[in-house]
Amino acid sequence: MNGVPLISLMLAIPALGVLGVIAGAGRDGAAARTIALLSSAVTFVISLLLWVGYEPAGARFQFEEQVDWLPDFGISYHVGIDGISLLLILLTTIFVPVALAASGSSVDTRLREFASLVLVLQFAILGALVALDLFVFYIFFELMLVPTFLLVGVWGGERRVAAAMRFFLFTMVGSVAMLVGMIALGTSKGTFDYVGLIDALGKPGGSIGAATAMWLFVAFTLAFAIKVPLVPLHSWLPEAYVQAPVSVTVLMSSVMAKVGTYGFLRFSIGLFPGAAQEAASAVALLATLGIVYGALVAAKQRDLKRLVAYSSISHLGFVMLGLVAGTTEAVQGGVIQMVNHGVSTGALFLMAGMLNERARTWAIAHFGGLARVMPVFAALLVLVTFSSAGLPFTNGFTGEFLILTGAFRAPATHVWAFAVVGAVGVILGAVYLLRMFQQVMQGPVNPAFVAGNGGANGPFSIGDLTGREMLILAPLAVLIIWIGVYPKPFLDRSAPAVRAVTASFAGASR
Amino acid sequence: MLDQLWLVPVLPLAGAVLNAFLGRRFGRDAVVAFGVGSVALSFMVAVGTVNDLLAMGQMMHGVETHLFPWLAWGDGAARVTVAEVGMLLDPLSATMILVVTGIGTLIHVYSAGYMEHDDGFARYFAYLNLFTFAMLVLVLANNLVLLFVGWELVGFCSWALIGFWFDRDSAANAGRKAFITNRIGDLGVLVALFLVWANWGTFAFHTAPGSMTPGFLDDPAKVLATPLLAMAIPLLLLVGVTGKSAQIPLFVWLPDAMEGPTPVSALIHAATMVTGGVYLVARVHPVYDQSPEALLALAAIGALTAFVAATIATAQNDIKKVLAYSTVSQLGFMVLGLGAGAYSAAIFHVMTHAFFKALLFLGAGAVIHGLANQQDLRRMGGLLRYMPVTGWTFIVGWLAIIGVPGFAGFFSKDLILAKAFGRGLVDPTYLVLYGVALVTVGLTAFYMSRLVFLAFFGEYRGSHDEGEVHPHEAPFSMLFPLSVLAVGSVVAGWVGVPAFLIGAGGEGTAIERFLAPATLATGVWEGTLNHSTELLLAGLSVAVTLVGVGAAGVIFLGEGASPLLGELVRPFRDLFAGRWFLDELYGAVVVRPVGRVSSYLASFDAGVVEGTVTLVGSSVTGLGGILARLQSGYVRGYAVTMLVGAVGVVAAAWALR
Repeated sequence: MNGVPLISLMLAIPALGVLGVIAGAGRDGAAARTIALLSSAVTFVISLLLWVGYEPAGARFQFEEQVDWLPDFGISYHVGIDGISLLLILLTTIFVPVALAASGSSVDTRLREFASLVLVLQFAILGALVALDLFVFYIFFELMLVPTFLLVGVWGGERRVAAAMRFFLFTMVGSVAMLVGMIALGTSKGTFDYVGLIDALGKPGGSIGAATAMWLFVAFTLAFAIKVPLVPLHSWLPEAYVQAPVSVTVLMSSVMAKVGTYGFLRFSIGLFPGAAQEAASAVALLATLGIVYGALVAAKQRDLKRLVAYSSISHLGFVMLGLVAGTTEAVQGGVIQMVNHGVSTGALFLMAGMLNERARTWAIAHFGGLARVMPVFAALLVLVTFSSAGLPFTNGFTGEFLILTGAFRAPATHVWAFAVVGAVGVILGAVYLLRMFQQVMQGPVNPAFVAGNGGANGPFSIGDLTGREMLILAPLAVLIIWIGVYPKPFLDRSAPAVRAVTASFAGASR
Repeated sequence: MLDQLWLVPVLPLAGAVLNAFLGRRFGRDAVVAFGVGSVALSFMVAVGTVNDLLAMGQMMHGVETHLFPWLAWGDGAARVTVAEVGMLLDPLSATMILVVTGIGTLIHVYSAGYMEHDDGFARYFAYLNLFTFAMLVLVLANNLVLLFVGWELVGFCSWALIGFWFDRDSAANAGRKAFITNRIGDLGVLVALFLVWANWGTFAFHTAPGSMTPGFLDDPAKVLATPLLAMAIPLLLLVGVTGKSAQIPLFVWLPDAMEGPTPVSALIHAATMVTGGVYLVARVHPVYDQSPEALLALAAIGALTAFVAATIATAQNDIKKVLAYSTVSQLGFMVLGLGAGAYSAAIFHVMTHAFFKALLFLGAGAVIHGLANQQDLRRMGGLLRYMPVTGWTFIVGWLAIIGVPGFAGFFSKDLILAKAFGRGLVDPTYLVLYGVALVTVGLTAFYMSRLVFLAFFGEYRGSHDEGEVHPHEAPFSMLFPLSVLAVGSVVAGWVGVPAFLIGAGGEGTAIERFLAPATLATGVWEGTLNHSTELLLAGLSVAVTLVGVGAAGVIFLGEGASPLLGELVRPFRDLFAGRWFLDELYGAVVVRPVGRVSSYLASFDAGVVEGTVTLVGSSVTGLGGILARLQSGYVRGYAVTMLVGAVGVVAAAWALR
């Protein structure tokens, strides 16, 4: 394995995949999807090699590659991974094929363009997750915007253009703030290299001063907080998630939002631990606000997809609370919760999409009694719903419990109280999720789904999960139980990186 | 056999998994084999392990098994363990696993008959097995987080089984109500967990071999460093107890839980779930021992719940509802016992109650089965003639719950009353609570006698004509568990006969001595009673019981209540029949306000979202053209433009440096 630039290879595959789709598929949409799936499968295999090769006890960053790019500016193509990026890379490489496979009937036009844009998005996300140079990160971070914008704007629902535009403008504002901060930092230290910057900032006399650090922290955090999003910066999200086709919604919530939380941990906290410590109470306040607000708003949604969108806001509040709390348990929980959110919220969106493909509606009131009609689907939805509600021995509990327990003993003022309020959010989560489950799956079967004669689906007009759908959901179900019962392999890998962050955090509080 | 302890929870889990995945394919016989067989095997293994534990002699903390690290990372010296998956077998958990798997097996056997014609046979047994697994995790856990896992999983299974007939909205509602109400209680447990972690840095009950951190129960006084904490942890846990063990103010879910199949009620009320709260307190009692205030709170809530639930039970006409409120009331007795520091007495009552409450519920199930789903007491009567086995076993259960000497309930209930009285000699408040409990003993005799007289004596009041309902006896698979439980409802109490009565050596009772290593309170709690006082107290309860039975006999076997008496009790009847209007109160104070806030926020958020639409709206028209261009393939051009722009900004910044 030595000498093989695995990371660059991993980035190259989706890039080549785009060329393959454009060149190979011609006008054949199905072929385009097949080529894209193949490409994403290869990417997944490479990411598995990273998982296998990564040594938790080894260096801080592994599989590093560094090539000078713009040496005058201190910019180089510097990539590498630690345990945190490793977990998110796997999340990405799992969800891209899942989203492609799930695009099914919701995307049936311009498949060639669709498949290539999904691969461009994967390229951008993976690039952002491996970048160890601020400038390189920024390029990838911005590059995510373009395919997402188009995926929403072209393949979305009725109000797709407005939704895409709003998403675009919001993220642009954040990006500009980050760009300015980044340039200010990079030029003052003469390098954009992440490791170099941490060294420079940590050196005696290398400090940039508390006020400057705070400004830079805010500039970076603004970009990430919009991407996540942190309430009250979320108003782009409901429309974008609702208007986008399901597979794109899944990519946005499961994967792209993680680049926001990842960036917050890696750059906002990683580069400015002192400022992060100082701002911890404020960020924790917003995160907790998001938990409760998202849950309360979700409880009143009549649209299935919109409900999941608000639940996503609520759940990402937990992640942010964990990251900013700064204790090892909380940050570990925050990292694993990034994966959990991807898996559980992704699964919820996917399953909502499967219902929509059958019933052609998102309105919760149009369902009812479907557990009778689709028993296998119902069983899986029970698992996913309760994982989202944080039931023990599912992934949701592993993350939320570590976050809240860790946040409770966080050094920053009042964060313990936010942990308690966050725990209230756990109850509210159960409230809206179980109501949703009941309205959709329980009660008498909605007459709309009764066919009356023994057709292909027995007495009902719609069928249970197909083999393809089960294949899509199976890996997610496995992850839900695995991370719930034996999360150690994941926590082992993120632990060293988390410890590095919390050490700088704790150091800053002294 | 101790090495096989892990099989005790894993066997029912395996049964659940098999039935969930293969049950529908394999047919009913296989489902029964997996479902009943796994729990029966688990019971046998449990007996074997407990036998080994006894052979080893009394050990302070029992035997711990460390299975695998769970919420943990790193290896060797760098290992951080928040929680592991491990088991603790001591007299306390030993008692519980025998009750859970033993009574559980009987309920499974019964279910095979009761649910025979149900579509969801496999799903039913999968959840029933999972329920047993969850409860075993709860009682066998060697740390507080794992206990909480069982605690929550029990809540999940109750959701699934109460709402088992999910096509009925009432069933789905009841399941959801059970889960949410429990979760509200769990908030208290969760925050208590945070405090435990912040204060001790471990969730382990006892010190693991070679560990530097002592288990938090081994060092309970550490909490005394801050008096507020000493009170906060037990009080927060108490919130959870009121949810899981159906106490005031959170008991409202349990009566609604009747929507589930009757054997499920038996499982929830007798062997699993509601006993979880009582068990939790007994398990972490060193923390409670630190706080007399928390204990008093427990005792007060217990006594009050016992009384209130008993009053409600007097005014219910649904046979299962009466039994449901009787469970709430009996749990109140247990919680009173805990609050008196008599943890072993409470666990003893858990055990005897498991027998007679399972018996009563399964008996009620047999009645409902025999009357084609009739649950209204006013439509029964004289059933002893039609279903003698059900009838006579039910009568045994009745005598046990009202505390007729010799039957199981007598010994355990009286032990609790005696302990409360004894504690009253130190803290007079407990004498008041004892008085409340004594009145409740009379109420219990009244409402249970009312049930038995209305159902089994007199003339059959159901119509023979309408439909073709002929009361008939249940099949053997249902009668067999009833008979076993009837025997248990007598003999289970005999381990609690005071030593002085039977001329055995030592103080107290056999069960107390057995449980003592795990449940003996640290510090002195109750004043010692001499033997004649104990006998006097017992005589007092028996007298009160006789009054209750007599009153019920006069009203429901004889002439009925006089009109004057009827007028006098009417306002009380309305209050009791209306369940003290607690559901209405919670609706007005909690449910609807939260709903209103939620609605307000939802429309507020929609406004914000729409607001940005308008804001962005104008630019959309302008930028729409750009979008159209982008759509037609200028993506690359756009990306390059942005890149160039970014580089330009960097260059400018560098130049202006």
